[in-house]
Amino acid sequence: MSQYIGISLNDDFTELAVGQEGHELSLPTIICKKKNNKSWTLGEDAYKLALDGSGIMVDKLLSLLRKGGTATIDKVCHSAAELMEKYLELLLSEAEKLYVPERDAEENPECRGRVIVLSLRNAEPELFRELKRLLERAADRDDRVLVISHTESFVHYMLRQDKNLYNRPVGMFELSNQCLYYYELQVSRGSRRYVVADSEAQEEAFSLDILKTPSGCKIADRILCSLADRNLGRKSFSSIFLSGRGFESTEFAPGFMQKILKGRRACIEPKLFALGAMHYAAMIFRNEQEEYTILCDTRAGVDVSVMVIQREREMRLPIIHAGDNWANHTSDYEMILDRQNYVDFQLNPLMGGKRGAQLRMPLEGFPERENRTTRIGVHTEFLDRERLRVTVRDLGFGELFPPTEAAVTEEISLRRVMEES
Amino acid sequence: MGLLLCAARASEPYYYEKLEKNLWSIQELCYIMYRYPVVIPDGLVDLRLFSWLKAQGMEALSERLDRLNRAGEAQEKLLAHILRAGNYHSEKEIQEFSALLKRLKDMDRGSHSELLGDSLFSMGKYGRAVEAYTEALSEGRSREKRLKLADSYMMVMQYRRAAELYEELYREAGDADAISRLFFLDRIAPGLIRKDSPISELSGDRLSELKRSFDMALKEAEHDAVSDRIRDLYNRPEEEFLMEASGLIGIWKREYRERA
Repeated sequence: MSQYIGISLNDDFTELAVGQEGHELSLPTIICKKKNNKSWTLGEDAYKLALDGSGIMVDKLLSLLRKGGTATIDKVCHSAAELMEKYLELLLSEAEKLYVPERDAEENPECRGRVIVLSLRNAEPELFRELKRLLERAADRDDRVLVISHTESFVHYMLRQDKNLYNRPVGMFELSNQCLYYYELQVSRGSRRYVVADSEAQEEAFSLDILKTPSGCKIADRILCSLADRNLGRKSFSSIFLSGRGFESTEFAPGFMQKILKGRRACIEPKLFALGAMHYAAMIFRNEQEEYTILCDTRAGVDVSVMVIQREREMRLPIIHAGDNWANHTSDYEMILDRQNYVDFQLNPLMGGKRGAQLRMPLEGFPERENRTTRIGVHTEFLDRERLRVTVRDLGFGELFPPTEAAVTEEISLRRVMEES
Repeated sequence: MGLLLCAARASEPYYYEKLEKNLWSIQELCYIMYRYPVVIPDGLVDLRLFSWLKAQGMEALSERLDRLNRAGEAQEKLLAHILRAGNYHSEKEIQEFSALLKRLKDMDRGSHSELLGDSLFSMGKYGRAVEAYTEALSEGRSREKRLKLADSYMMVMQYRRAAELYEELYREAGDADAISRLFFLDRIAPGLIRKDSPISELSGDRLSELKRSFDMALKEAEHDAVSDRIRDLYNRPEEEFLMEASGLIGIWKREYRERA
């Protein structure tokens, strides 16, 4: 069985990368059920069945899941979650076919199952949670499953490349059907080693069908040239990467290629996100530590902590560290109020030059009791990278002072707090 | 000043027999010990406590206490270790506590029992306060002890016994507190006080002052939250009244029993 798998899941195409040698596979994100039969199939075989009328196909599984939709096949109504789970099950079987034990196997007696990392375009918390849940159901019990964004995959991919490719900023263009994105990454190797990455959808996304005609190619080339001018400008880059199905061949865009190759290295890797996800999965499988703190859409941008007292000394109790994955990150702590009816949060950015900020959360409506007889429960969860929801409840003090219903909930905008500081 | 960080509470409570309370965290244990030092039983630091601490993830503390206990360490030192582990009291408070425990150990039985009575009274355990003050009195019948015993009798509605003590105190030394309590008692439970009781000798300004005090207390009681609630109940429909009244009576019964 394979040990680590990277998956890049998009609405139209899914990419897989497996094993030390990074065996790759690309297939359409569709599933097909044979008529009057229990068996399902995916990829090109699914298309064939649908075309010859012996199967019913469902595509755009990701959009269907996002909408919470359904599809009726052979008179049976299937939820989007059901279909996605079935698709992921079949996908993992395809991944196993790519694995070559003689070449890919690694020794790690501590890791019993596989590590599977799935990469999605955007950091959507609900979709992340749902896909993690479905992938866990599709995988084996011992497998470890994580969901990251394409931006994070890009980071993991780059950090496995030659250091010269990222000693200055790195730009990346992703071109797929109706999808055009620009990514940028910068590695800081000072006293605090971190990598910052971000991405932006470009308005000029186009259908890859236009590349079938010469005039279409010219238009595409012009679009990409203006994209390059806008995003690259006069900045200095170590390298430019091109990913996505649209860049499997670059012959259609000679102008664009000329622009990006001026004084820079350009690399083409259509399945970059799957490979990045796979590299991350491999790192986890090997219990390796991240060499750099990663700051991107799926990682916290600041240290968040609560000021508490331990053995008469004030200390910062971490809620999250900058660079930690915020999705599914929750924390629960209990404290006792000592001549204080508020909770102080401390925010500290990782990137130099910015001061920290403090946020005070008053505990309004909490009962007045003798000092040190109010225990509070502090629960935190991230709604997205920028928003932290904090709930503080009155827990009383055992049977001596029973708890009340008093509770305070606040959504903290981390960005706003930092800007106002 | 700040937020004292705590570990998670215990999944099973520790029953503190002297106070008849379940304790769910080491902080509650620290609070109880510090607030009511005179109630701390000998042999508190025992196997039951070790198991409870272990179950909360405090194996290191549990093992340390066990080791020190076997080596014959004094209880006040063992308790100081618990207070330090609780992250609830300052080092200064812990040292004051240890010094107090030493003083309690050297205290005579009468004073010790009186302090015990004070603690039990402040916790609302009036019945047990009566026992403690009675024992204290066997070592010397000071004015304070008798007054406290009489007040405890009042709280468990043993009015006749309370009255006897108040009368005794007044006749001995014209005790002002005793006579005012006797006067109030006569108003609360008319017919209880004997006709030849000292309150029949009250007159003039002193009597007027006591009457005024009582009337004020009555007025306050008439408009407190409990009275308002009861008054409101009588305006409710019968079924609702009966249900609420039954609930209230249950609460009062429980409160009365807990005073024992």
